[in-house]
Amino acid sequence: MVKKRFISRMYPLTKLIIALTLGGTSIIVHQWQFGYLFIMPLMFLLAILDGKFKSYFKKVFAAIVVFFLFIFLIQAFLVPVGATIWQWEFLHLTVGGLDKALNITATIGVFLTTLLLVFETTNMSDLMVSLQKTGMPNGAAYVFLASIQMIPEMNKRSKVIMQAQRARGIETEGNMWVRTKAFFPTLSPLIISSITDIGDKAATLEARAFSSSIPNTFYRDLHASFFEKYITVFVILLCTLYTLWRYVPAIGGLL
Amino acid sequence: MNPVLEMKDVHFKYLIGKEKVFEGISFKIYKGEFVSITGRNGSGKTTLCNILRGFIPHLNQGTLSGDILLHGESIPDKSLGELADKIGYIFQNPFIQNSGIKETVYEEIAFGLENLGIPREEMIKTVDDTIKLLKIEDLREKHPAELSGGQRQRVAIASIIAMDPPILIIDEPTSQLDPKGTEEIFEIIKLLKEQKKTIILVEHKIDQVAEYASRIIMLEDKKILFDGTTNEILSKEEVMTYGTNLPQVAKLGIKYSKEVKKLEKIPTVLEEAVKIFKG
Repeated sequence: MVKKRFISRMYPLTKLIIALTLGGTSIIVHQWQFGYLFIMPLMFLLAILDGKFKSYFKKVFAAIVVFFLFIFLIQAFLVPVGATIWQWEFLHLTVGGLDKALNITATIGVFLTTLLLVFETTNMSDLMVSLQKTGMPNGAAYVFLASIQMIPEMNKRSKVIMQAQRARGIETEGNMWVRTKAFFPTLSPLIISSITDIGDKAATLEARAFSSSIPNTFYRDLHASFFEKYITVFVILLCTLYTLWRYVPAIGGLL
Repeated sequence: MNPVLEMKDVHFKYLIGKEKVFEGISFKIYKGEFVSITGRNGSGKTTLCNILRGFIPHLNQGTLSGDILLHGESIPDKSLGELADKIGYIFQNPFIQNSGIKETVYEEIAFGLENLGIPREEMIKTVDDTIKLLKIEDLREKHPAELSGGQRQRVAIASIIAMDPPILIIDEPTSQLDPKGTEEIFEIIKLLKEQKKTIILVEHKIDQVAEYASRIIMLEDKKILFDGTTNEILSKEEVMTYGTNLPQVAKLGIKYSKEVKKLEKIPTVLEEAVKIFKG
């Protein structure tokens, strides 16, 4: 097993709280430099230090291409405010538009990079255990984890159904129309069988004392260290100070 | 001696069923008994198990009347969570029996103990012991969703017996398994019998029933048709007319008794037969 590095070893809840604090702060301060010049490079640096850069960067990149760029372009070009910086045909890039685009994308970027880093470096079961310890109901943790595990299982099952339906003579390959026609006979057994399985699953969970009123214990042994407890407080404090500095004129705010 | 489980004049009809499944079922099961429930398909074997475990009426509704008692206390009045460490239940289908949230077999077995709030040190000891007892060390770090049917069934049994219930209901555990898988499950059932657990087993493989069960309850037409010791029931030729097979040695014994020489006792297991025919 690969030895876990600093970020991967950190208490899951600590990571999550810090990520959400940074995201929240970036909404409040509304300053693109915070996201672009500080948090995003920092997250990349942390990912490198944790040895997870490659898979982390792939995920961030995929997210950027999908909506990050899209939002940026729409905001930058379609909200003309102030002086025009650059123009081509009907497209006008204005100072205000650019500022707005940078601010919005910076906020999204902060949430995206921090949360993706949390999910990249955290085992979901560990995260749920740390949340359950702070009082999250077992049912909620179960639903979350079961949905994650269900995806590959459903995938497997849909392949089996597809083969069975092919054996009965339903065409599943070919042009668009043929594929569309095959959609319902393959999808409906998948949905129906998943629904009928719910009853069995409930009985299985009951057989394992899932609804027992005794408070749960956990096999996964997770504890927040002294450092992990206080770094959360420290980050929240820093973010509060930053927000104050930004908005209270007495200490040089509203730059 | 007081019975561990008891049914008194139980009637039941499923919510969506037209006819009753049971009309007046009564029996008592005592501590350490190994009872096998037989009967033709659709005679209500699984329904009976579900009622004993409280899944009916808690999860599956219907009209249920009569008394269903665990140590004299009504089972339908207890919550399912309360019954979990008292009556273990092993299902027929190995593929739906995993929790669906655990990453290793080890954690899967620990799941029930986590829910029961067993302290971590004790949990680890129990899981280790169970894995050793069931000889599934090779599966320990595997993902529960990537096991074969037989392996899954063994993990499911391990997960239940880790919770150490004194009563076990085992509903056709081998119906979807190959001969090797079946043999492995019966090895485990033998272990449970040696631990003096009270066991209720639904099983069609009659040779195994003859070997392990001490008592047979046979369901037919919404009622209990036969209730007696294994040898007593499995030496009756008429059992075969109610959709339950007889062990090969019992068939031989019956035929021999009719056509050659009357036997005092019809054998139901091989060793017995050998003894009888040796004279």
